[in-house]
Amino acid sequence: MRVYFFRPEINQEKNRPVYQNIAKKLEAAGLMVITKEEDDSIFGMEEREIARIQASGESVLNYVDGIVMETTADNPEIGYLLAHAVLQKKPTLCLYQKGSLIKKTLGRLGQKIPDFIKVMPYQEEELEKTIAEYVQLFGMDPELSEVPNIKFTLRISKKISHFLHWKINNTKKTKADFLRELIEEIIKKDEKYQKYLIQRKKN
Amino acid sequence: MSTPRKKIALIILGGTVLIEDSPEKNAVITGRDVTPWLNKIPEVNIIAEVEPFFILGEKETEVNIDHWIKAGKIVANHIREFDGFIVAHHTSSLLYGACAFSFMLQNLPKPVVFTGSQIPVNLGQEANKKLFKKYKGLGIKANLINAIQVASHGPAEVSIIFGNKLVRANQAIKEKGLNINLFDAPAPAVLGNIDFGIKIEDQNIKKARVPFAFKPDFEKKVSVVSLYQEESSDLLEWVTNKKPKGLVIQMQQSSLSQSQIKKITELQKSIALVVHTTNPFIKKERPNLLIVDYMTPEATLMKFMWALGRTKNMKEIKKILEQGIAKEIGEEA
Repeated sequence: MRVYFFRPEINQEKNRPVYQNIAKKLEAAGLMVITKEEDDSIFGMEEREIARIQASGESVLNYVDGIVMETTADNPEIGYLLAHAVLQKKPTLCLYQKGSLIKKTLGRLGQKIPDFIKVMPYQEEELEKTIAEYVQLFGMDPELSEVPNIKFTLRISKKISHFLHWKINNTKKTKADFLRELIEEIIKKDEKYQKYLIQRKKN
Repeated sequence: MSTPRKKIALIILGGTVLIEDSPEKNAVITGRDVTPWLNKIPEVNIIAEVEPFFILGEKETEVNIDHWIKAGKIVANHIREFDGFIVAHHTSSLLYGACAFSFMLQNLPKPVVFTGSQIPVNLGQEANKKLFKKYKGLGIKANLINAIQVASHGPAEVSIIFGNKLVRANQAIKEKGLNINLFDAPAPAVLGNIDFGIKIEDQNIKKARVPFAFKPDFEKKVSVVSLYQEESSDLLEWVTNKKPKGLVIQMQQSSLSQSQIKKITELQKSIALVVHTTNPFIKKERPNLLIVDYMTPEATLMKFMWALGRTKNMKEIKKILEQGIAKEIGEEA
């Protein structure tokens, strides 16, 4: 699923890490993130595809599955994107911190906020959960969400601990990352489980 | 701190047909349809407060200069009250209307955006379904959303938005068929493009320093003749016998026949006459004729009507036609 992530005031230094964090978590949830840079270039979509869409007269918004917006600060683009999101019924996530006018803006629709629009306050610790809820709007099976937001206590031996410590040394990974990736690999290779997933989808 | 909500005037001159699964009651036929029609597009309220002004509905008479003047008056009378103006218009004569606007509303301090629906009213169910698929059900709704954004933050001049392109009205050309980008323009007259938002070049945002003026003086009795080289000059004779106040000859080929030149030279002694061509060399060959080769046919006609409305003196008309009034003159001129 491709989502356009709208980031207002990207030129402000304080916003960069916040946006990077949101994008990282969107990607971790299995979404392909498309952004617009300061110089108006589009990141995450091939130039050839953009040129083709432009020539057809369509909006590139037609070619994303959803929209994610940071809506804390008032910005004229927010209303514009929301209007298109409502028109095209695109799953949309409006993230905000304190003092946002987003609910007031949506109130102008004169009706109940549509189900495909999620308006959610966010804090670092809640972000993964918020994104996981948003991902469900795409019809993804929540039980199969790839967001690592389930806490799991695992007792391991000193030997395993020693190995994990050695394994991640001089890498940017954590022990948890290493274990997650290992399990992901096992999932991919487990044919019986893959067959089971197909069957489950059919049902 | 929140920025104040933009207030946009929506002037209706047709072009309101929504692409819906059901074509019933999907357009503004009379003034009474405006509110229910707008209620079908609640998205627009998210961007701005939209106030409609009804002039002409679908199925009514074809739009003419009187309707454009009436619409221009709405803009002039409410110029301070609104942040921008949208004109919903039939696509058939939209270019003429937009050009007329660009000449009568001078030094605009606010954006005026033309847009509309490409769908005729009461289209058959099958054809409607086809178009619904082509435009992915968006049509005028998407055009209106884009127009509201341009009217709120766009260039202070008369422009046209269809599909993903914003173009200067008096340099625009109409594409054939059912293109989503129904209007195009030479590169310098493309004011903006739409991707995830509307990108408008900074140089197009500059506002006029000269005060705004409303000059709705058009000579309405102007005839237009499309002239092919093979065409006998009898056609010109026939048209001038109808006693128009002005005549625009649109050259359909790169040159005129000797008999045509002779006839035009003779006619221009008794009638205000302008020859429109896309051939940039003919002007030098025929310095005794008033030849316009630097404007679109639509801009030429509307500017000529506007010039004739201001003066009957051919020298002054020539001066007006050659002078840039509303950025209508192409770069190569």
